[in-house]
Amino acid sequence: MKTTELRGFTRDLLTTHGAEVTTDSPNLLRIDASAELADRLGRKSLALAFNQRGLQDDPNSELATVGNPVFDRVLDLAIERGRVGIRFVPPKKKAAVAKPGKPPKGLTLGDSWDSYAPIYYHVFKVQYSVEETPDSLEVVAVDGITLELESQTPDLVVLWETLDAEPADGRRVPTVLPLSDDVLRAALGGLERRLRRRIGRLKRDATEHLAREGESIGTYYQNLIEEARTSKRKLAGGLQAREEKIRLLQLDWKRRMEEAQEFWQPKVEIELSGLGIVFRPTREYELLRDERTVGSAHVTQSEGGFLIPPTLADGTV
Amino acid sequence: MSTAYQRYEIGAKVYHEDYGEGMVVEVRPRQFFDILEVAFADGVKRLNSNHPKISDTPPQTQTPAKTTARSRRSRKSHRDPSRRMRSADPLVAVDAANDAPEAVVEEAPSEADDGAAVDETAANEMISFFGDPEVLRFDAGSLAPFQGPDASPDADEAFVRHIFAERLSLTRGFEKLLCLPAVQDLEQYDFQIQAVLRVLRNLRGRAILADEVGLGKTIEAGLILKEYQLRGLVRRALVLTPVSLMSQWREELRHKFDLPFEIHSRGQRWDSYPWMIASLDTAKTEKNRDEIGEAGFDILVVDEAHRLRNHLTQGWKFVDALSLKYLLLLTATPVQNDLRELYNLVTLLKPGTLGTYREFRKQFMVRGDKRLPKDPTKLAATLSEVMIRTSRSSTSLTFPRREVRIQEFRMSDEERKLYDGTSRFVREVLADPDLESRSRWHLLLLLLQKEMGSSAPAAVRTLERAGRVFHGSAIGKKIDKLVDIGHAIETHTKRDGLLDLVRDEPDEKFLVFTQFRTTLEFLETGLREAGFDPVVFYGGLTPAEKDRAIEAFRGKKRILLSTEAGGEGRNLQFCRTVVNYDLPWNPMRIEQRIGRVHRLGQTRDTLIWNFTARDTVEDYVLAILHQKIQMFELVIGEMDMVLGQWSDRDGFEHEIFRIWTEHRTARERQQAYGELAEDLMLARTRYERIRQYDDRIFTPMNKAHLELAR
Repeated sequence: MKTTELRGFTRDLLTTHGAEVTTDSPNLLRIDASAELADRLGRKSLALAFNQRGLQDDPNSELATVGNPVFDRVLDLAIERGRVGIRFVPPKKKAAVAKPGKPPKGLTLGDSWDSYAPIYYHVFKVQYSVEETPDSLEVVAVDGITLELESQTPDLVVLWETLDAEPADGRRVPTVLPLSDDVLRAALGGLERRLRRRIGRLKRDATEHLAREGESIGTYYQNLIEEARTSKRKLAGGLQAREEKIRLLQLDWKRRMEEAQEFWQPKVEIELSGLGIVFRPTREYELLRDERTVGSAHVTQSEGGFLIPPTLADGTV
Repeated sequence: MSTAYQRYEIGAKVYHEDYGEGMVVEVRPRQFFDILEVAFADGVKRLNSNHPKISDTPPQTQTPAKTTARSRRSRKSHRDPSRRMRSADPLVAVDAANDAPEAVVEEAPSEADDGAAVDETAANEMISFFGDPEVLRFDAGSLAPFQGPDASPDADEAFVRHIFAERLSLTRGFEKLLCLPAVQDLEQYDFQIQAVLRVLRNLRGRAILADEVGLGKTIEAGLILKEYQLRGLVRRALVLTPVSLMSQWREELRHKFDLPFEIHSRGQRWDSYPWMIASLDTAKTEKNRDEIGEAGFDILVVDEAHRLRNHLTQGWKFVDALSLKYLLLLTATPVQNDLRELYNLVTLLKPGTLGTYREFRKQFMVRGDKRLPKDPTKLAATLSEVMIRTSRSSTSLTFPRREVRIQEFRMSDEERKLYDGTSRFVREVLADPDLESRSRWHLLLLLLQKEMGSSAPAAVRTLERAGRVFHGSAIGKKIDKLVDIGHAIETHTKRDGLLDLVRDEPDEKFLVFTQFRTTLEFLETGLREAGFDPVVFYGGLTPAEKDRAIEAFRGKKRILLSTEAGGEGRNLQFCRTVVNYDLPWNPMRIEQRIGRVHRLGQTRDTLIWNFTARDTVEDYVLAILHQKIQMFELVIGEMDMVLGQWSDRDGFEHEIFRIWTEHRTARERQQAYGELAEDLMLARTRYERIRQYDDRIFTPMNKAHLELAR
C-alpha cells in the first residue's frame, strides 16, 4: 500500500472523528485528538510515521502499521462504521428511451417509470486455517434483479469515487435493505465457486502439515519410549513401573496425534464484512400475467434488453 | 447437498395459491431450489419449488393450529433472516409483506428476537447448500448489520474507509518482520518466528512466552524487542532477570540483536539508559519501583516470570502497578503449585481474560486439586489469547545427544600437598571465632578454594597477593608456606591431561573452559610450548577482538580457551567438544558452558569432558550433579528449574562451600554432600511433577493458540 494512500486515509478518518491533524513532513502526521477520540485511542496527541524516514524525522513517532495498538484502534474506528454503502450511477442526460423487446411468454408489459436496478457488492472476509493461504477480502457482485453474478468486480474504493451519493430527481429507488436471502445465497454460491480451488489447496496443505507433524510426534515418542526401555535408572516400581511409564507415553502419543488431526482439519471462516450497493439507472416495467401484476422488469440505459427476476411474485420462473 | 428446501418428485401433487392443484411433470435441480414444471388446469407452468405460494398440501387441509404454528415461525423468521434461509418449509420463507396478520401466541424473548443476533446453525446450513460443512464456516453474526431491522447505509465516505481498513487489517501488520535481516549470529526457527508474529499480531505485545525449556524464549523476546525498536514502538525497555542471568541477557541482546542494553548498577537512575537490565529483586524495592514507573518504559520483559505467581508478593504488585504498552512474561512453568498462579500471571497481562478469580475458580478449578484444570481444552483456548507455549514435540527439532566423559586425575604429591594445605587453611581461618571482616574473608577464601580446584598457578597468585597484605602476621606466615609449596610444583597433572586429550583427537575442535584468567594464561602457555596454537576469549577483550577470536576458532584454530564471562550469546555450534578444565560450583554456569555448543543448530552429538581430581570440592560437585541428579541428561534450562525447586540458584555454591569448610573429615563431608544430593533429587522430582502438570494443562495450547492466530 502506498504511503500517500495510507496517510490520506488516516488523516481523513481522524479528522472526521474530530481530531486536529497537522503535518510538517510527507512521512508523518501529528494528531491532536478530541476528548472523545482520545478515549478511543488512549492518547491525546501522537505522531504517526508512514515509513522508516518518518520514524527518523521524529524519533518520538510511531509506525502506522497493523499491530501498533494505537493504529489498530484507528482501524477499528473505520471498521465499526461504514458496513453498508450506497451509490448511484449518474443517468445519461439524453438517454434514448429504452425500447423494450418482447416480454417472456405468457407475460405482458404494464406501466413503466424511471427507476434504478441494484447491484450488490458483497465484501466477504475469508480466513483460512493454514498459514500458507493468506486471508482475503472477496468481493462478489450480484445483480439484484436477475440474481446473476457479475463477471467483473471492480475495485470498490476506486468505483465509489466515480458515482453519485444521491439519486437523480424523479427516479424511484427500490428498497434494498434488509438484504434478501436470495441475493445473499447467490453471492455465497459465487463465493464458494471462487474458493473451490483454494479450498482444495488448503486441504492438501493441511494433509502435508499433518503428515509432517505426525512424523515429528512419532519420532519424539519413539525416542522417549526407547529411552524408557533402555534407561539404566532404577525406577521405584521395577519392571512394572517401566511398563506403566511406556504405556502412559503411548497414550500421550495417541492423544497428541488426535490433537494434531483435529488442529490440521482445514477450516475456512467467512463473514460478511461490508455491502456496497450500486444503483444503475433503468426504465422499470410492470409485468402482468392475466392482468395480474407478477413483478417488474428493468431495461438498463447502457445494455438495453430486459432484466427479469428469476422467480416472479406468483412463483413462476 | 443439503435438503433444506422442499423436494418434489415427478408425479407429486402440488398446490398453488393462485393456480390451484397441479402435478409435477419435470424437476430441474438448481443451486438453492428446483425448477418444477407443473401441469395445472390452465396449462403447464414453471415454478420455483421454494416459493411460498407452492405447497405439497392443499391449503384447506391445514388445521388452524398448524397454521398458527407455521405463521408464528414465519414471523420469527422474518425477524431472523437466517431462519428463513434454512427452512425446509416454503411457508416459513413467506416475506413480511405476504404474511397474513393474525393473533400470535406470545413467545419468550430469545436472542433471535432482537433482530441483531442470528442463528449460527441456520446460516451455516445455508453455506452447506453448496460447500463442505466440515471446511466452510459462515459467521452468521456478521449478517446482522445487513439483514437486521436497523440495516441502513452509512453516510459519506465511511464505506470506502471501512473497505480500506478491512484490507489493511487483513495484512495483519507485521506481515514482514523487519528485524530478521537486522539480527546476527542467530539460527532462525519457524516456530520461533511464528511465536513472534503471534505476539506482535494477535496478542498485541502482551503475552506469556511459556515454551518448554530449551526452545529459545530469550530469542523470541529479543526478536520482539528488536521489531518494536525498528518500528519506533519501543524506545525504552526494561528486562528483569535473575542476577545470575543478567550478563547472559545483556550479551545476547547486544550481540545478536544490536540492542544497547546496560545492566542497572546500584544507585544508578532508572532513566539514565533507555535499555536496561536489572533483577526483579532490585526493581521491586520501595526505593526503585516508583522511579521505574516514572522512567516510562514502553515494554517490560520478565524472565523466570513464575516468580510473579503470587499476587500478594511485592514483585507481583510492582509489575501490576506499572503502566506499560507491552509486557512479556517468560516462564517454562507457569503453574507450579496452584492454578491461581496462572490466573495471577494472566491478570498482569490482560485482567479479566479469565474473569474474576471466583469465576475462574468455579469454571476451571477442581475441588481438592489446585493444579488440575476442570476443562483443559477450554482453559487452553482462553489462555491462547495471552499465552504461547511450544513444546519440543510440536517442533520438528531433534536435539543431539550429550555424552559426558569424566577424566579423573591423581594429583602429584606436591599438588596434593598444596590442595590439602590450602583447604586446611581456608577451614582454619573461617573457624576462627574472632575473625574480623568475616564476609570479606569469606569471599576471598571462597575464591581461593575455587582457584585451587582450577589450577595451582591461579591459587598461588591469590595467595601471593594475600601474603603481601598479611606479611609478618601468623596468617601471613601460613600463606607464605603455601606459596612455597605452590612454587615447588613441577608436574601439572591436569594440564598434561588436556595436552594428551588434544593430541589424541587431532581432527577435533576443543572449547576449553576455565573460570580464571590465570588458569587461562597458564593453559595458553602450556599449549603453545607443546606446539599448539590456541585462541583465547575472555571478558576483557573488546567486541572486535572477541569477534576475531570466534572467527579464528570457526576457521583453522582448533582450541579456544575461554572464561565464561562475556561470551554467553556466542554460538559455537561448529564445535562439539567442551572441556570443563575446572568445574564451576554453580550448575547454571556449567549449563551456560554446555549451552554454547549444545543448542538449537547443533547437528552432532556433543562431548563434555569434566576434569576432576579425587577428594576435591569439584569431585563432590560432579558426583552430585552428574551421578545423583543426572544434570547432563537435562535439557538446557531444566537445571535452573530444578534448583528453583530447591532454593535460590546462588545458594548451591554457598552450600557446597559451607559443607566443605564446616566438616573436617572426608566421611563427614561425604555424608553432608549425600544429604544435599538427596535434597536436590527431591527438587528434581518436584520439578518433573510440575512439568507433567503444566504439560497436562497446556498441551491443548500448542494447537489452540495457532488456531486462534488465524
